[in-house]
Amino acid sequence: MEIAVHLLVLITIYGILAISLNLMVGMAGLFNLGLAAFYGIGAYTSAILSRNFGVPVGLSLLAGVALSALIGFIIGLPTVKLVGDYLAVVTMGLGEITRAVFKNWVPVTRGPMGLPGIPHMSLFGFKLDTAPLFLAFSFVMIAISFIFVERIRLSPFGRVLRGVREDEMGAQALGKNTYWYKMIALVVGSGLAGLAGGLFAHYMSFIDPSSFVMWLTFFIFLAIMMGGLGNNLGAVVATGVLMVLREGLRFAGLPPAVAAPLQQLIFGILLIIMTIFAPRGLIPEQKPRYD
Amino acid sequence: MDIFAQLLVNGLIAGGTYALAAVGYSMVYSILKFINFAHGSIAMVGAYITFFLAIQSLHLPLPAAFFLSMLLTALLGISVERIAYRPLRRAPKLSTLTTAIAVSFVLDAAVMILMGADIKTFSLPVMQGYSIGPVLITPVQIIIIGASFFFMLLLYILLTRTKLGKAIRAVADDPSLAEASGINANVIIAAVFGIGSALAAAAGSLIGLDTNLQPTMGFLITIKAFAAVVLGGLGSVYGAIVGGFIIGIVENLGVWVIPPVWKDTIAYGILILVLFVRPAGLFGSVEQAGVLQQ
Amino acid sequence: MSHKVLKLLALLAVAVLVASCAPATPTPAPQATQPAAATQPPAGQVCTVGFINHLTGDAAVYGQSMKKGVELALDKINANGEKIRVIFEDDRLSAADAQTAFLKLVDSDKVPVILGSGSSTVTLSLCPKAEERKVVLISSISTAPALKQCGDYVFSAMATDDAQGPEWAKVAEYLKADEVAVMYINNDYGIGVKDAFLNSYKGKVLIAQPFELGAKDFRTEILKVKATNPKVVFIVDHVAEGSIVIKQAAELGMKVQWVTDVSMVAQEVIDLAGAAAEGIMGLRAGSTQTPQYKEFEEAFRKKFNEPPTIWSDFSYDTMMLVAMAIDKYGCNSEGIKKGLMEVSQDYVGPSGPKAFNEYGISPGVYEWMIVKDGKWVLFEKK
Repeated sequence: MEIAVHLLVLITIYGILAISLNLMVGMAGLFNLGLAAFYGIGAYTSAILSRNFGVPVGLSLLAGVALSALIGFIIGLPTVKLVGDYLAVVTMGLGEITRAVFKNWVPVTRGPMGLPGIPHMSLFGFKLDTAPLFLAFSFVMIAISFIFVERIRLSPFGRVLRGVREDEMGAQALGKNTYWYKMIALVVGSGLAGLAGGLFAHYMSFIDPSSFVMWLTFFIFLAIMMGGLGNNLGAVVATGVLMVLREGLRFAGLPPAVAAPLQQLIFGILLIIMTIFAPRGLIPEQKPRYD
Repeated sequence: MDIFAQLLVNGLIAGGTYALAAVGYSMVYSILKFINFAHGSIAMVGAYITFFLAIQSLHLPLPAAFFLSMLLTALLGISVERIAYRPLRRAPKLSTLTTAIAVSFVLDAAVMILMGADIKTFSLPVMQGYSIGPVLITPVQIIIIGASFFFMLLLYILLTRTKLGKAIRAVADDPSLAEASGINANVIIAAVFGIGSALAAAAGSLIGLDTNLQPTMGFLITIKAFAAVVLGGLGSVYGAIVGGFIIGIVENLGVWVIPPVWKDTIAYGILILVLFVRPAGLFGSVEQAGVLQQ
Repeated sequence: MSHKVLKLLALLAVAVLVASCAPATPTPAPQATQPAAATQPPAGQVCTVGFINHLTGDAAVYGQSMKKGVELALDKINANGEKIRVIFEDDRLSAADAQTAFLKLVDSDKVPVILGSGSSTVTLSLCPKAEERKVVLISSISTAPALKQCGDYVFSAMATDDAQGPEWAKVAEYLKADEVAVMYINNDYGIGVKDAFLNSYKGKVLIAQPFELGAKDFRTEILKVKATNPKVVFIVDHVAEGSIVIKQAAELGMKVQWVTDVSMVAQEVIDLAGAAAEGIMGLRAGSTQTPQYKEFEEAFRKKFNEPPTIWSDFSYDTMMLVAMAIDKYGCNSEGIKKGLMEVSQDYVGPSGPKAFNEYGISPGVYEWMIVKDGKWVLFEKK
């Protein structure tokens, strides 16, 4: 059924976002509330380059990743040394500012009217213009992202990162330059978010600023929280569960008069329940076996 | 020059509502070190309760509805704390953040179901404002500015002259010491949520009186309130008030020269600037704020 | 297996259960088997129709209004036994969610036609899918000129933005205004109308001031416009913000002749702006003077206890047109596509004449309205 394929594609894309956020928040302790901005930068960059300038899609996708990572770097320089809540606030502000840019820079992004006609993904000339084909591709992408971030997590770098998250002063006492560890996590995370964005653009063939709202960032936060901070598999699975829950409520046959807000209400209540009964997430972090 | 004066006054009007919303926010943060993302939704509920009491059902006179709504919203805030936040007191920060977001979903959806998505208005008589010098201002707007100062004064009296106030400050300063001295932290926390929510209701109702009501009006209130709190200094309640007014004024002056799509950006921009230039905000203390890693 | 993983699986099970829950009102008609053009059994049985719109979020007020229009139409259509059933889906004002809703309606509920969306941006994002799956998509109120390129499965019951602009220019001409100011909501609709107006208007535009959806404080924007000293100000918005603009402008001592777009010709504007609304002019899409409108308005007030808005008028007509097409050619996409073209030619409903042109878009017929004694009434042209 096409809707199943569609949902799976969205799950893989949001799953990559969850992995990226997990790297930044779960592993490095950076409360990046501006996630949607990097997602959007990747999307718009890849869309504009391929649509307006005829750049081959694979290349434009990479450009999106690179630009997101670069912006992550620039933003990170001054902000990474901020503590938890403040970092959250600053990144949120930057995220909203970026969305205002998407909305207002009409000559480039067409503002609220959105960018239609984004070319489909193509691999070596072979066009991925149906949903199942795209799903295969996005699945490969999320698999690569997953493996990549898992390798990071299990590496010495990952161990230090965990140390930084738990006790930054302790890590510093051991001579680690915590600042750069966090920067690297932020840059890689932003790049991954940019990848997700590019994929989204080429799947939907249409993007507008409404796809990059704060709500999405909250949704992904919920996913990594549910899956267990630092747990990449958990993050992806939780993304899937949340998506199925959210869209599954459409099938629940709620009274049409209030179905839509009722779906939101149920979703909110379920989340509160889940958070209260499993505050550390549903799957605890797996300690690497050789620790 | 005339226009400048008018812009300034307009800034005070907007700022007054932000300040009221920010105060409640700031109090909760001082006590629990927790960013309550549902705060704007609570303000929105307060506005709707006022509307319900005054216009939709009991037809109470407006001041009565206003204060009754503050009381009821206070009760709502206390319940929310008890049900959704207290179980998570020892949990990692991220959980409380996400719960707060979920609470705002629930409140927004509930209001939409109960009151409908259409726009509600108080249908107050509209008129050209009174001329005070070069500036035009209507009675409702005067009330808005006045109300912020009034509640600020009330809060000051509460915090400095009453036993409850002292207890609140004690818990904010050092919870374990306060407990050791016999203060029941749970009761204090509930009181803080109650007061904060009541003030949020006041802010929401005033916004509704000045403009209109929509179930989704909460989000922007949360953002502005938060910017005000950070500007004023996390942990300083009076700073939050000043922060609110400053943001209101800067926004109104700012939109004169830049397109309005950037209006919220101004609030964020101030936020970010403050955090880098003076992280403790205007009135916080650097140690207390603990903004930077060493 | 760890305790926590078990919890997760349990949750998954619940989720799957919820998702596979049979809807409380299943379609009794047996499902057709072809995947392409969604088909349902011919007349005599209930035809299921889809509806996608923004039912939550900032724009919910408009989506819910459109839903009410459809519901009123259904009362009439199903008066002698149920002929049409509508499944309402939320697009959350997001292209991705709209697509999910679309696929659910087409694959799972097998609808041949979908009413929606309100937002032009969302409708445009659904166009390619509608064409691909050969499902009729009919919007009651999307007005982006790009809709003309959507293909022949896509219809709109409201004229595109480039029809309102020239009408405004006519008003300007009538008012003998050689310089005007424009205020517009900063979204695809506002920009579309503003641009169309700027293209048709021959006089001087003192300022074109945008304002934002969802904001509440427009005082600075108003002061900027006031500073240019206009006598006539054209304003395009969806009601929520525009009504605040007029009120705040009055408070700030701005005395001008306002001319609004079609969405602002609504009771809310008068409710909120009170005395300040007296004398403002606006365009009415369709006509309030026709017997169809009066009958519709009465029925709407009776059912919902509130006056109808432009969103309800248009979606009422959209639903009626679809019902008529189904009556004629049966519950299938090809039939409805053909039927809509035919039945619309003579149809005049509460929102005016609906004859679809070659792009599947209804004509722009406007009345000029003015607020007199606290009500929107027809403007008497001299």
